[in-house]
Amino acid sequence: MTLNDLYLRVAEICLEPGGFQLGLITDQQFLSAYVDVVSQFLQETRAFQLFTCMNETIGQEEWELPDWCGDVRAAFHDNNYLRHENSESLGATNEYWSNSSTRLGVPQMWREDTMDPKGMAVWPFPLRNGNQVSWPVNGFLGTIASITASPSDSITAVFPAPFYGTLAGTVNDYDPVYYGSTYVDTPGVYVGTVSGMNEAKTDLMAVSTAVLKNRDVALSPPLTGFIEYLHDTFADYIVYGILEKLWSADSESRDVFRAQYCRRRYQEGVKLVAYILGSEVEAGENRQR
Amino acid sequence: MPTVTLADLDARVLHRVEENSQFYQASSRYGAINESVRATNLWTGFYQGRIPLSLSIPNRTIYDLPRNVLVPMSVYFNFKEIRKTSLPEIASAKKDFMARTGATDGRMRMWCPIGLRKIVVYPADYVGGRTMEVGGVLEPDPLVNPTDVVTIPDQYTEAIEEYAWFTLVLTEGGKVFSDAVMAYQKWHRLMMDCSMWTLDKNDRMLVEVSSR
Repeated sequence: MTLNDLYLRVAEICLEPGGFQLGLITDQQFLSAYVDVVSQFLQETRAFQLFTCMNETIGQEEWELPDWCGDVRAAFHDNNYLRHENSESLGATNEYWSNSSTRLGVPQMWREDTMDPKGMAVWPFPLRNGNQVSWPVNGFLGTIASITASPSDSITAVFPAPFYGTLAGTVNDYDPVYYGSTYVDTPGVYVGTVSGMNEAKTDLMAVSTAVLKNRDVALSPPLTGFIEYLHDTFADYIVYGILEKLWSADSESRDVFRAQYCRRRYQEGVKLVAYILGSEVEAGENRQR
Repeated sequence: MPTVTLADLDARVLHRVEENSQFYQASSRYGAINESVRATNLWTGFYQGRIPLSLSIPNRTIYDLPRNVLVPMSVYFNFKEIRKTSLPEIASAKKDFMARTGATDGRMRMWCPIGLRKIVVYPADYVGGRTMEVGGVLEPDPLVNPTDVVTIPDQYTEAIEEYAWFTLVLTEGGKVFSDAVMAYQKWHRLMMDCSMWTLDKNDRMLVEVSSR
């Protein structure tokens, strides 16, 4: 289901087939409700998770995750799984744990308490700088080919802006000594080919819940892409969330009873996802202490 | 399982809206029926299957699931099912499992879901090109033409009809919709009873009909 499909469906239920024309509900109200509801759904369900790589820096304890990340569920350093901790338990075992000058080492644990909402920290603090690749702010156009990487000179591929291009093979792709996995996540548009590339062996990787990336949405030109992360099945519940907001607003279209029904339907979706995840195993479950 | 055509379901839904095909046009009725099938499937998981995930990619640990997989429940590597687990469990065995491959750790034998759209496998296949499949609850194919069929257990046919009805009359509002809310509550109770997920059975999400 695309954003425009969603728009037409909501408009049809509001007896305005083809789009909002009567002025009771405006396109802007719809778009605002859409952003709120999808963000809320992603946050409440935690069903959609992302991998994000970040470069480590000597002595840097705290990282701020990109806007498209929500809660951190797990973290890795150098492909090693980090234990989840909090500052209280760290303080109980070592009162000098926060002194960066004496606590450099290979990160063993991560925490997110006493930090900003998008912050996370590792301990011990890294003792080296990771490899950094700078991407042009306005997107990357071109080719990356034949990266002669070694385990200590590998690459983190994170694209904060639209990416157009080709990532071609690296010399160590099949070398059993320099084995490893590659994961490329493109929060922006990606058009191109990825064929084998070395992973970031020296950096930090977080598994976090997803947050709506594109909050600046418009109906023209029509958005034909899928609604971020969501299957059509879940998008049905987004429709109810939007209708609840539109019908509970203080306007001529206000309809408390239908808004209440839609609220229940939206909640049904959130709870159902919770039941599904509760019945399943998810990344953050049983975080080790 | 019995199959039902879109035309059959549509006839039942049209009857529920008193044959008012002018107000409730075919596209709206089909839309409501499709939503009904999707919602019932998400609760009960009647549409399950095993589909190709991808060919294994050398040294890759993280895979995105195909878009039509709603809930991954099993993963097969080279036609053999591998064990489902969690990140902490794999990590307790191999802390650096993200970097381990079949070159040192043998064939792929574990997987864990990362939310509903990704999975992690251990150890990564280092050869590549081998079949990987995923099983679980799938998103039903949309019913478009009257002759399109959906395979559903008998007991859900009426539930799908009810759902499509109360979804359609949401447009109308007023007393018609107020009456239909009882059908939603009936449908919801049936879903709670037939759900394939572990539920809080006391969690009844009732719409307060008396509030009108």
